[in-house]
Amino acid sequence: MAGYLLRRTVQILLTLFVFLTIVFFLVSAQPGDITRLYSMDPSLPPETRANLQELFGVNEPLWKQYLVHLKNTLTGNFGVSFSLYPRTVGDVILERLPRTLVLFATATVISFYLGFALGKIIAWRRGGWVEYTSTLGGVSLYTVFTPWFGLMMIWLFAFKAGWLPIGKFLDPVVWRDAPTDSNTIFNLMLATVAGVTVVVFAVAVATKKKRLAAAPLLQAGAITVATAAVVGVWLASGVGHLAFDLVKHMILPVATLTLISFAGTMLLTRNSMLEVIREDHVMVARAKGLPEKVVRDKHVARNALLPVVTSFVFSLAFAIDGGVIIESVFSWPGMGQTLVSATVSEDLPLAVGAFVFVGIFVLVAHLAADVLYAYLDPRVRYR
Amino acid sequence: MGGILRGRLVFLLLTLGIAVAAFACGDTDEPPPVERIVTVTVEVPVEVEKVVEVEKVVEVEKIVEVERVVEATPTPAPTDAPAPTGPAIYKMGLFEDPISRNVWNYLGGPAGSVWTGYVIGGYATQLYGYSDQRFDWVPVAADGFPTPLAKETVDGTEYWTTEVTLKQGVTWSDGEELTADDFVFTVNTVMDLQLGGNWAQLVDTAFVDRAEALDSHRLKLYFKSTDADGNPQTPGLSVWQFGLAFMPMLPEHYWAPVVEEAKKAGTGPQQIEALFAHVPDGEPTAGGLAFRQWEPGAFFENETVTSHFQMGAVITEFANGAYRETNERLGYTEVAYGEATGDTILEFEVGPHFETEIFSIYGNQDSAILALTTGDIDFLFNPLGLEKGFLDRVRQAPDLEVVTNLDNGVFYLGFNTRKGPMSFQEFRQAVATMIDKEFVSQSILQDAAIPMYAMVPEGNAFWHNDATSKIGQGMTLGERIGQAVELLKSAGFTYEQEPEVSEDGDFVSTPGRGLRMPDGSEIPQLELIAPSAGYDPLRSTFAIWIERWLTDLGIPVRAQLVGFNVLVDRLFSETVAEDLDMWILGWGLSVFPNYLENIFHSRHAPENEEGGYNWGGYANPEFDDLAFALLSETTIDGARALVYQMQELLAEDLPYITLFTTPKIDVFRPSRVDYPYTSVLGGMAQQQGLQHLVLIK
Repeated sequence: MAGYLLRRTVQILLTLFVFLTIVFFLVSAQPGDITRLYSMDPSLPPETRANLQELFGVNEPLWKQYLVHLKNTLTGNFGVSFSLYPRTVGDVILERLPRTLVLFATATVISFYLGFALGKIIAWRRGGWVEYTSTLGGVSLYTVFTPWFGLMMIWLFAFKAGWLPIGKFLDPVVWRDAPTDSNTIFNLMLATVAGVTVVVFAVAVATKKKRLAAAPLLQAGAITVATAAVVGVWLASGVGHLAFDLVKHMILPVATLTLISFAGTMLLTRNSMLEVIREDHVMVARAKGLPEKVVRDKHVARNALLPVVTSFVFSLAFAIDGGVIIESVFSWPGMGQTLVSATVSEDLPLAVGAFVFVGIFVLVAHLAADVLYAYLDPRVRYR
Repeated sequence: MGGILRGRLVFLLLTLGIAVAAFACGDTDEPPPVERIVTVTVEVPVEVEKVVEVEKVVEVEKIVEVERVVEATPTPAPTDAPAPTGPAIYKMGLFEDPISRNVWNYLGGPAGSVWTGYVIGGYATQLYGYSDQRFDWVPVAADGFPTPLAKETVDGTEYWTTEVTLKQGVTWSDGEELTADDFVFTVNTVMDLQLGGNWAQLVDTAFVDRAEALDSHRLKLYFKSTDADGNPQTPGLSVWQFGLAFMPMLPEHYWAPVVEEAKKAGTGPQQIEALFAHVPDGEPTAGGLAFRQWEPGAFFENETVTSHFQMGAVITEFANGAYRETNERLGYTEVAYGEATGDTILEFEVGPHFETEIFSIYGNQDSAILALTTGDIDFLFNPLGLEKGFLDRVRQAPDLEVVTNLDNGVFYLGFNTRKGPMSFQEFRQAVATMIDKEFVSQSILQDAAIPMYAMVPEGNAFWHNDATSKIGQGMTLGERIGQAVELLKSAGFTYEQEPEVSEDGDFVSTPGRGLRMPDGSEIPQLELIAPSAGYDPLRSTFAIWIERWLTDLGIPVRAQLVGFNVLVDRLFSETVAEDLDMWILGWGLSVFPNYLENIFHSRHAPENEEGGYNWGGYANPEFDDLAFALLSETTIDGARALVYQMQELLAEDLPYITLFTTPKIDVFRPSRVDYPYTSVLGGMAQQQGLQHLVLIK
């Protein structure tokens, strides 16, 4: 196991180096430099342009910029953003990351849950109208033109019905004189979800180990108590209305993301389940006279979970780069929009910093997935 | 589990289907769209040497009646106007966050984005400024007009000097009085730190020597009377009246410690970097608005400074050209440019007339237009223009008004005049003759562009010379071909095969072939670089048509549509003199047309000035003399005469062929907001959404 992990870590470090190099040279290969954005003013003296170039270091030779880039990456210093000068890249990423994490992690979890649940059902009841409807609907949504679909969701539920806000992640009127900023609330929301997850998971593990008959009841109770406690704390905190405003603004983008992405998990689960169904242990379980639901959920679905979990971990990792399209359509200024605007405006430090951050996160997720794989499937670690 | 999910799925699909059907059928009858298309002309009377009539009113017994008189067409009756609840808020939409709240950075550094300008443009005040709509040169924080420039010798050095008095009772938002020291501090900071960008233009150190505070409210300004080589010079309009006098003043009591700290940061760029890096916290302002809250990516909020010195003042502009500002609170009435009698063309009370203003930030035009339609915002800043689909949508919206104004900008075809055939005036004239601007603008681009012939846009009427040559205007294709061929032949160009037009005159039946320059050499393959359609469909369309017409004429040219940065890179490259042939770009322009010197004087060619803007290397001694004279011209009439001559010369010599300008389209909700005027050069957005005078219903 240790040797396996060591090999994977070295591979990932090498991949990271190659990734850093490719990112730098790809971004640098863009024509022009940032100072061009400020140069189209006939009254701008030439020395001002020269000063700007010096300030941004765009006059340095490429190899020197590359070495600085490597050094900065290793020390976690990505420099100052050109387009948001004088803010640092780290500052910008810290500002945008929580928004993206909350939105896309929520959407990813919901879409995986929905996809997994539907995948189980359609694998078990093949040929029924549920399978056809789910597959047709899911694949249609999976392949739909995302910007159009996002805009239609806004048009339908926000513009016509007026039930939900038109884009953005908060209502300025609600946030006037707010005692704190939105990032604090986003971070608190993340912490809340993490806390509830830990509590529920701990209860689940504890009840399972002791093989208690009332385990489902205890788990449901834990969820209820944790949720009630969270709601109570938020209401008493004086910033609950701010969190509610954020949640209200999340509904449409999360629904859109869920609808366009659950089909992937659904089909993956279905295929994986269909393979497991043919296994001998399933036949044994049925021969033992176990109820169909037990056979499906405990003997088939659990074994079919492996590729789905891997896919889920990767999806969570990719959640931090956000969906450029979704963020643009819903005016959600997260990492996706940052990546695009930094690239388009040739804000090299920010573009490189954001890319590298996403890259490192994804590579770490790969490592985590590898560990999880090895934990879940002994064949991997003994190979 | 499966049953439950199945049930939910069915419910979801049913709900979706019913909702789509319901809303698809739910369109209601909408009232006819309202649109005003306004052609704005700007007359700029500027008194610079004359003594100005300033009348102090100590006791005001009569309340001034404010009357709105400038609506071009009646504003439509409000529909479903929301009942006013809570504080009066002016709600506007942006597409990007401002970059910084630091005014030094905004005017001299990378924070100088248009978005930053919209949100912090109302913080500062200045000695003089443009009047609303008409762009008169009028006092703002200054008490009346300055003394005429006079020569004065101090310690053996000769200077041009002038004195300005500040208004009494002008305060910063923290209650401190605005004094002459604030102006001096701002000038000194710009000069000490050698700030660039707009600061360098406002405080032109080639002319400005220093500013002195004679007392708390009196300033004396010293301008150098000779240039670096000892040649005599005069601080002209662009240096003083439209330069230093427009400089925003910043509060010394807040910024002095910050500047002192920045000066310790090292030298040059490090000091500037330290100054730009400062994030203002409680910075006092004097422009009527102050920072309140910023949630990056979501919204930016300013609040009204109720102690703003101009708040409540009534400004009246008269048909006879006179300008009057009556300020009861400070007890003065200023009158300029004639007797304040007769018909008024504009009258309004200076605000801001709201408690706060909120700039919501949207990621795309779709969301912003929907927000405008549903009433989330009252006005949308949209400097990149509205696409036709969006325009159609807002025109159909029941409670939106669309206003179209002329832009103060120009899109042009430039020539590298250093090398043949572009170096021949007749060649450039032949190219101009072939370009049917009206056809492309009106028939192809459906009036998204407005043809232009002079370098100063028509909307800037005081400076625009309408009598310049309009080469090619109104000609048929046959006439264009005939005249272009004649022009080329008159310069010594020769053809193997001259172009011929079909009998009906609709197309060129035989393109020109074998065109040779006067020295007998073949014309090389020429390159016309222009922005791609993705960046600007208007310019790329012009480029494609120009390629076609020149090919018909026998000029071998290929239009290369490239990314904007690629194009600009080519213009700023070290080999621009050899590599460049023709290009299409645009300029956003100032009201005072000193840009003619910046763009066309030979000293600004890249080979003479690193980073200069005269990329085509245009060098015409006659033009250079006129441009240099403009720099030193101190009278408005003299400047106008020079600008007229420069336009005439440029329209004949054609280092640029001006192609078109664009209409500026603004959209707002008349049921929520009301403006004393909406017709203005450059559009309402360029006037920052008229934040200082909008009325919230």
